[in-house]
Amino acid sequence: MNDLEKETLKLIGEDTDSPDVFSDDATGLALIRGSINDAIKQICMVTGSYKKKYFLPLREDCQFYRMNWEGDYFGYIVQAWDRLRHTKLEQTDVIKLNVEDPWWMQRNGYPEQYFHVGYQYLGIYMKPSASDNVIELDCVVIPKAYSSDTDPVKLREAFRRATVQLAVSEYYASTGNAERATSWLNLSLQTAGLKTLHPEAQEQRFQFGGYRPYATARINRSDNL
Amino acid sequence: MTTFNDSLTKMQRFLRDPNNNIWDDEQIRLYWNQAQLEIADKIGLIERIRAYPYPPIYVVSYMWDWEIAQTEGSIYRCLNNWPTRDMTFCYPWEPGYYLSEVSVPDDGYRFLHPWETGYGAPGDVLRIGLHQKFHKMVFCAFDERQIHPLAEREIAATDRYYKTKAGEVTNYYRPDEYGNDIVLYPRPGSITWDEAMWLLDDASEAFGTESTDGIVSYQEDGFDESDTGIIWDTVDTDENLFMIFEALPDEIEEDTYTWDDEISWWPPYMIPIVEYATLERCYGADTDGFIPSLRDYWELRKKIGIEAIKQFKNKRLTDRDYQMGGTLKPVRSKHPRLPAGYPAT
Repeated sequence: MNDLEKETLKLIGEDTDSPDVFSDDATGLALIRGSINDAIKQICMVTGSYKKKYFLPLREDCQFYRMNWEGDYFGYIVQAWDRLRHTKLEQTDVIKLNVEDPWWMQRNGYPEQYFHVGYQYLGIYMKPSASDNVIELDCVVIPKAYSSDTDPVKLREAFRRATVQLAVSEYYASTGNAERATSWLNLSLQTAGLKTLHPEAQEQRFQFGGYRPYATARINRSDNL
Repeated sequence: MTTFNDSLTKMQRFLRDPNNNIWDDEQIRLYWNQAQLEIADKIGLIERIRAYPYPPIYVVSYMWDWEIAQTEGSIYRCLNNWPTRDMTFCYPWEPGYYLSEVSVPDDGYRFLHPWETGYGAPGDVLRIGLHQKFHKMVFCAFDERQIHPLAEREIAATDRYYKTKAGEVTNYYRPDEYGNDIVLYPRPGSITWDEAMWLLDDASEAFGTESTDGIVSYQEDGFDESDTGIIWDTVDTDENLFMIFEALPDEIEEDTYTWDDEISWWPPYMIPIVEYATLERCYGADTDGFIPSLRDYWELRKKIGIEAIKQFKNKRLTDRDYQMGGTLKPVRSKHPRLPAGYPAT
């Protein structure tokens, strides 16, 4: 049993050294482990706190890509980078593309924009004319469920307490004690404090008016001076 | 991989009813199907992409409703039914001739299989059956050109020969909701036969795994190492009817053999929310297990889950640039620049 499971068991009054009900194996811990895994998924889904970098090789004349991930579950893209041209792809959607370029499905060229479709498809505009490029995707992903003590738990430290509390809440729900379950659920939401604990909230730059300070624009301005 | 059996076991733990004393599997299955429909309706995240060959390929053409039960695979209803005599007929003069000697001129040939429309001038429109779970069109294109929806009455008001007109496809209409069909207007004037598709028993199998000549090809790349790899399918849109649409979730079938199949239409991280909605229904049902406090708890979990998905959807727009009016400012400099670090000193 890992630290999260131990903490959960302690909070519900179980002896972790000599467990009475929740034995230290996959069967005994199924309820607690399932609750913790669900809590991790939901917290990562809401906070977008777990990211991974993936490389998408583009294929000639192919505009849509269905992404099946072996490791984690694909969430969404926060940045798409053209490795060939050293440039960022802009995020768009089908409606905007239709307005800006009604023939967008026929254009061949360097990829300039991308868009999500559903939860597993990705569209690229313009579709590549040759299979010679790789797009680097920074993606928010949702970790797959861990299944043993040694599997890594992919969760920020700040959200571990809330995860445990959510698991405790579900334990009380499984015993029929809705009042305590609701109380632990509220505590979990309070502990997560999702917005204030968001890791990037304090790292943004704010500006009133003018252009957004892209690095390239600033460099050019100083060059001209 | 999450299966319905996994989910069932988990829900039975929360119901404290592992032996089905109060809620049997069938009851939970029905609640599950209701629950996922509610979640899908509230979040609208299930979008699918499909590319259909034209003309569409069907395994069987049929004329009578009773034939449906005798067939397997994709089916196409051909010709016309005359409700007055419950007869099938080809040409409009046939019902008239049955009553008196009338001779209504006809506009072209009748066909039994859609592929026949490529070899003659059909006298009627070709209805293309859509995906069974099709709910709402998001985008539609034919041969990589966007086509717009119109009501049939609008087309009929402006074109007397809309049923037989051929040319470059500009619009589509949906003749009726029950049939879940789509009709292209005008009918495509030229057809590029895709020989690969003739090898398929079912158009849905066009999402094959190997052929690069079919509608969709599949490739696994060298990046596929441990969990940093990516596997992708590509959708070929050239000469095909291409659509992006909102879909209804597939139902868990009554047949328990399918309960070990993967629930592929939901991302695994959203399945718990469907479970919460199912548990809410179980505890709210008029059975010996009716417990309002637990029903309210799981309802709360469901609502929080739905809000979480909505926030998740909003976060998918993190990388969007928003601007009120005007043209987008160039991200890259308009002026030519030498690469960083050049010249080397």
